Amino acid sequence: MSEKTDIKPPKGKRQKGNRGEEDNVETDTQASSTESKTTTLGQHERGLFWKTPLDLEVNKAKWWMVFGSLVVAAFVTRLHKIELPRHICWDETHFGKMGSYYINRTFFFDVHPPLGKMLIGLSGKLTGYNGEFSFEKPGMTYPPDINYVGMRIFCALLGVSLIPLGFGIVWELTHSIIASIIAGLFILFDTGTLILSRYILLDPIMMFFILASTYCYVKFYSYNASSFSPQWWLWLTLTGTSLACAISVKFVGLFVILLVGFSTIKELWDLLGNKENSIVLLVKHFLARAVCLIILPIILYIILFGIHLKILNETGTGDGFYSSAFQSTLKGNKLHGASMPEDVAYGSTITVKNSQTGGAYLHSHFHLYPEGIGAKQQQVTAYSHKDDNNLWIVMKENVNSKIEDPVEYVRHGDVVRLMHVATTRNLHSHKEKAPLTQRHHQVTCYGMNGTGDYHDNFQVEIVGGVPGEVVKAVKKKFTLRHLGQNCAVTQTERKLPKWGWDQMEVTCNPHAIDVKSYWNVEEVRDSRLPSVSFANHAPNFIQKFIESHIVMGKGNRGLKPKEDEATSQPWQWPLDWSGQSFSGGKFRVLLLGNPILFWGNLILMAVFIMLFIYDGVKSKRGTTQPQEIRDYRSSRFSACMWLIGGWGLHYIPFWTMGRVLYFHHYFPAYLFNAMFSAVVIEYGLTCIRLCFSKHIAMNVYHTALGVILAGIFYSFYLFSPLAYGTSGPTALDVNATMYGLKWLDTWDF
Amino acid sequence: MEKKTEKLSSEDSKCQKEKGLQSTHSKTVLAHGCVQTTLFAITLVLREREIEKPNEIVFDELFFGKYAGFYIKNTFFYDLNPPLGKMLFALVGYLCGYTGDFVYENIGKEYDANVPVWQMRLIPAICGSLVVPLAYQVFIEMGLRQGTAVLASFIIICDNSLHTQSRFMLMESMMQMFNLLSLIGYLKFRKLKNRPFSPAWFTCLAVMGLSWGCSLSIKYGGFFTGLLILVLVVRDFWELLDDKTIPDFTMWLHFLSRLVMVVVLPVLFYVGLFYIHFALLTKSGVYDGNMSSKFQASLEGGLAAITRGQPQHIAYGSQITIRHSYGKPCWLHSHAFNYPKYYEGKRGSSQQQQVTCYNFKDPNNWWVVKHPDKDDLNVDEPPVHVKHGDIVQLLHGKTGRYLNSHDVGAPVSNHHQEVSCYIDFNFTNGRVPPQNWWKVDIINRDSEGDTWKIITSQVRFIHLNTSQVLKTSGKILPEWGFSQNEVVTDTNIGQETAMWNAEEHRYTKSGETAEKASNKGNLIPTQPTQLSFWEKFKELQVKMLYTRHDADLDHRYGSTPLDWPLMYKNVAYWAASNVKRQIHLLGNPLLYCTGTLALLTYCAVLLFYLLRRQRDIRDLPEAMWQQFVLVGELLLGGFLVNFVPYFMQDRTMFLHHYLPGVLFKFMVLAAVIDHVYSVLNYITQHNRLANQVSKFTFVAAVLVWCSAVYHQFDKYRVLNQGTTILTPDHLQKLQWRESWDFVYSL
Repeated sequence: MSEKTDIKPPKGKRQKGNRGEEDNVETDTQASSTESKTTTLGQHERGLFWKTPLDLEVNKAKWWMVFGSLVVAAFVTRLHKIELPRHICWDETHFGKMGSYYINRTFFFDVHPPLGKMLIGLSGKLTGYNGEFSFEKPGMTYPPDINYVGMRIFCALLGVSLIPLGFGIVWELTHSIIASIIAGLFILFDTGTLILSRYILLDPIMMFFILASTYCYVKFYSYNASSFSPQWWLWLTLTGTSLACAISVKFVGLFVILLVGFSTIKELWDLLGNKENSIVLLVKHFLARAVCLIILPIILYIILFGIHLKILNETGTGDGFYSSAFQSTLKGNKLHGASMPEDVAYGSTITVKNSQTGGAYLHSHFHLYPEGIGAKQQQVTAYSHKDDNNLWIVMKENVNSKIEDPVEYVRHGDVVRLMHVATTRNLHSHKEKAPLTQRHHQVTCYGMNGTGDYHDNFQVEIVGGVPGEVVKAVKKKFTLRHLGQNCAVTQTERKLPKWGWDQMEVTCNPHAIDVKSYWNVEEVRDSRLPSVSFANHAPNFIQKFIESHIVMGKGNRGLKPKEDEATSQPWQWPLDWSGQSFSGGKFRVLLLGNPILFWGNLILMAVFIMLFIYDGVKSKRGTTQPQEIRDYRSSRFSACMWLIGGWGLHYIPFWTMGRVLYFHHYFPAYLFNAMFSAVVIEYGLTCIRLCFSKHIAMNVYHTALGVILAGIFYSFYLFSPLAYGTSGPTALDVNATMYGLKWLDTWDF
Repeated sequence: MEKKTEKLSSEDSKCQKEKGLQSTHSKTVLAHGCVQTTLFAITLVLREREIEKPNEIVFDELFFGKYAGFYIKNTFFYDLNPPLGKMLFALVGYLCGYTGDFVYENIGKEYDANVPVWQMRLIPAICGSLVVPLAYQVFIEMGLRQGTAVLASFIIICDNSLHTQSRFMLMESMMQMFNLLSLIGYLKFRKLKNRPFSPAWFTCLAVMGLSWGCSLSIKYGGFFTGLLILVLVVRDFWELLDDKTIPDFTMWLHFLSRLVMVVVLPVLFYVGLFYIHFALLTKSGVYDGNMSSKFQASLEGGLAAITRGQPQHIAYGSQITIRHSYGKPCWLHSHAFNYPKYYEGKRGSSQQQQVTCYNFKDPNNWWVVKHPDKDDLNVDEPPVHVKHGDIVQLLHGKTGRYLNSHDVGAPVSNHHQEVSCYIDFNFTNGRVPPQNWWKVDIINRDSEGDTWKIITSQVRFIHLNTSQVLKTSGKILPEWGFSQNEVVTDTNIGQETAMWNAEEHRYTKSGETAEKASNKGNLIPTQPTQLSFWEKFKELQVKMLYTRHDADLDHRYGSTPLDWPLMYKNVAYWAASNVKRQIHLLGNPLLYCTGTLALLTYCAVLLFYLLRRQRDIRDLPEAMWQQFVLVGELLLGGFLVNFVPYFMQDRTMFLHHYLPGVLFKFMVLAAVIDHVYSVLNYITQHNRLANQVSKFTFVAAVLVWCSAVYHQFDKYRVLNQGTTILTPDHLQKLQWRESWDFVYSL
């Protein structure tokens, strides 16, 4: 055993196991005789075709050279012209904005967990961006004094790391330099992955943590012969850490957790099956994984969330999504350290908030319900943002209570009217169908200057209240029961269409009363009443954590396709069916995968399935093949199955999602698909090689490999303008950069 | 045998006996037959009792009864469910003299004398009763005890949800019957593996495949059970490949016969049903609007009635309405209102006249096809037909303005180009030139020819200045556009949303009479046009499978899959106008809960065995283990394939979606009880006394449980039949869960 054994990076998941040593000795002698061409098989000299190892050997220097050139190429492709376009592209408007929020420490609401945006904020801060830019909408030009490039470079660096990670994963799985190179190239030269890596988005961060988790896991797995060694622990801990990071960027991180989870279960299952393992050892194995892959990630996730809440301590755009108590912890919020009247009296001006988590303010505005939707009266909605249209004055029935009147508190069981301050109309309900939830009654604003009719009367019933109890801000929940129809004012979970400004529907529910019909007074403006401090309502961290998650969950469920949004269907993604525009106008960037690679993936998947069935039937029907070939095949097939599993876990769940989907959701799955394809290509090439006589086998092999590599390069050369931006006429024009490349009508360039 | 006769005599006390059969030895086929017949008879008597009451429309009878009527009247209708179930109702209705004239308006409407309510409701009742002996047969085929088979039958009989569902014109009981039949086919087929290619072997395969086809043709939910069986067949075949004594040729025969019987046969059956479907439904009806003009024209009295006597070829000077060919019907429309000066978000518009796609017929849908070089709107003599590639202008009939497009963002989808009717505004910064030439691009010119024909030619309008295509964006205009559909142009030519066809047509006449106008060209046939079966099939199938259920997600009785296993939500099927009598779909709470418990028990025990086996500890004798696994594969598998897919659906669901699964759940329940009994027997096999005592105790416990089940069944039955008068107090007592929603007042 000479230096040759060190050449290979640490012993991997080689199926050959006990035969490995013998192999190495053999290749050693052979390698010395064919020093000049280490990457060839050298079987001519050996003469014993079936006995030669089927992987091409490679020495350490070459390995690092190949690896290094891939990394350099990754840097070049990812960072080339990264400052262009000098305007906001697509979702940069969200994530740049959110990065700014972290820098400014203002509170906001988003459906994704915080890590990705915190990293964007951090990278901006470190590269001299001070959070002053508004990131208002896509297409807006960056002012010259705003350093947005720093954040783009940060994302691009994570994008760069995808190539070595992909290379490393395939290397660990197969120890085949050819497969690893192809995997690297598939990721390097895919235009879609490239484009996603170049902007201020969560996707590069997400993809980085997904591949990092996968890499750490296969690395960890490669040490399974030396369990509980320091390296073993190191990689196990790193796996847990990257998993935690993955899910802290987007909940899609769950899929890689599932991949690692299933693999771990399988691993434990195999350990259990080995009767040499004592029960104590098994328990140790189990506990080690439970601690590092379950408990550690949970703790990290909570810590990251804690940091998020710690940073965002000033009032901002997200306040309204949270409960009144939550808001009182935000600096600058009306409720923060505020003292305001605690009780509500007739004549007080109040805001009323729905008590379900994520509930919104009772709202009205100068717009009527459109023709055909109930009575054509003024709309009443629920609105999450703070606004003067959320203000109401509490009045007695038939009396226009004024602020000058002597104080009389609103109590449980009182019948009140609520007058909308801005429009001086009263909250009203009547026997018309509500706009969306048609079995409820419509709620409107009606009347003028506070005068109204019997249908403006609502009874205040404090939840669990006793007669005479006073309605208190924030603390007491109550229902507003319409006396005329015996129904309760309710915020439903549905969004009104355009005419209702996408605000939430408010109805009067004649059926069972639940939390959707509970309201609480949030703000009280009344000079007559004594003020009290709100500090004692503040929730603790755990309460905040739970509330944030419920609000996020609701937000995610609410991401239904809107009327005027381009959505895409999961079936379109692997086909590279249509792109997603990142930037239009003079400088066009279109998120579209490299079609050669995408379609190649599909073909290879079909090829693999056929090979798999063919070989399965073959071995069932008892064709004998040399042990070595069988070992080789089973090692490749298990790598393929694992990678295709990763692909499926990151792709198939989208079929079941009702929320709005975009093409960029596919790219984590694409990475797995790319690695899978690399292994299949390598396997296929080896199979082809074995079919030919030994004289021409290597020529065929190298020719085929050359054609494939050239194809990958050339396709990237053709489609790279998608990523680096095109201008001028569209592809149908003879003078266009991409003339003749519009192979599908659905491609929009 | 004597136990069975006792059962016949007294229905109410049967629960004590069901359990009593302890024989573990297989009985003769005849004996099984007798038991099954008896079970069938008992169930039928139970299910059929007062089935004709209420003589009013109950729940989805509103749809299924209505569709059955349409079959009898040969009137086309459109439904998302496949046809077999409705055809059966129609067949029975037809045989009993139903004329299909009854109007289905709302639940609770009284049937008139012409509707054979009893006979039509009898089909589900018979199918629901056949489920019981079939389940029995499944247990026998799986090699479980006869006592267990009877127990399973008893459980199925005593479930309120299955009872309710079998009593009205609903689909589930038929589907369940075919599911079980398919399962039996599979089990028998497995047993015949030593006699391949025998007639019995083929029969079993055919039963398996055909039952799948039937089940699938009743409701698409039937697909799942068949899928499970298909997977099992493939797995068995995979194992068969190991048998090297079978030559490769025979192996191919094995493969092909399975393929033909289990895949091709059901598909043929399904397609054949649609053939009958179209053969029956030849007349136009109120549902036509869902289909394309071409489809409608193939129906008697459909579009043909409107377009009768119209010239077939469109010429310069033709007046036409232009219909959007795909999706929800709408017609190219304009009206004397302009686009608002500014849209939301301060974006400006051209302020020209609105062009929309309107969902209803309207005089404003009429357009005149004009030759760009001629000012005359009259049709020449002879008419000059418009051909593929010709340039036309489209003049809006009512307002006399030309269809126009230009580089201004469309009102809602601002990345597309606006379409308007051109008004020659003279703005301070100059006037905008009209861009109103359109190229007619006939898409299906290979089959329909180069000249533009009404209805059959599918046309694109390509805007000459920008090469963009006229299409609907799928978005709705705001209030100022009267919530009509937005029309825009787009660069992407080949979209379905860009296909149009001319529908109504007349030649512009200058003072001539109508007859003369129609004498000018070939008239379109007054007979329905011929559309091939495959074209019809494809169109309907695509519509059925891809139509999103636009259902009310917040339905009062809607529930989620998680509500089902423990019976959290009922479904009200019917209530008399005075609320005194009601029908609800609700399961036997005791059965639902113990069933769920049994499922969990099975999984836990399976995990336990598997973990132990992985350490090479065999707790069970091999035969018992095999049987345990078989229960998991077939029954637990059957439950899962009928339950899990509902978690992935984003639409309103009801308790009745759980019923195919619940049948398997009950069978698992019986099988788990059987397994516990076997384990008790096995553990105590060396101690006679302990053996006897434990067995006796267990059987006694099961008997007690059975009587409780029967008691519950009887208690809730008043809510299934709608024949008992219920006071609010009584209802209150039956309200087992807070979340059950009974009707206390209307």
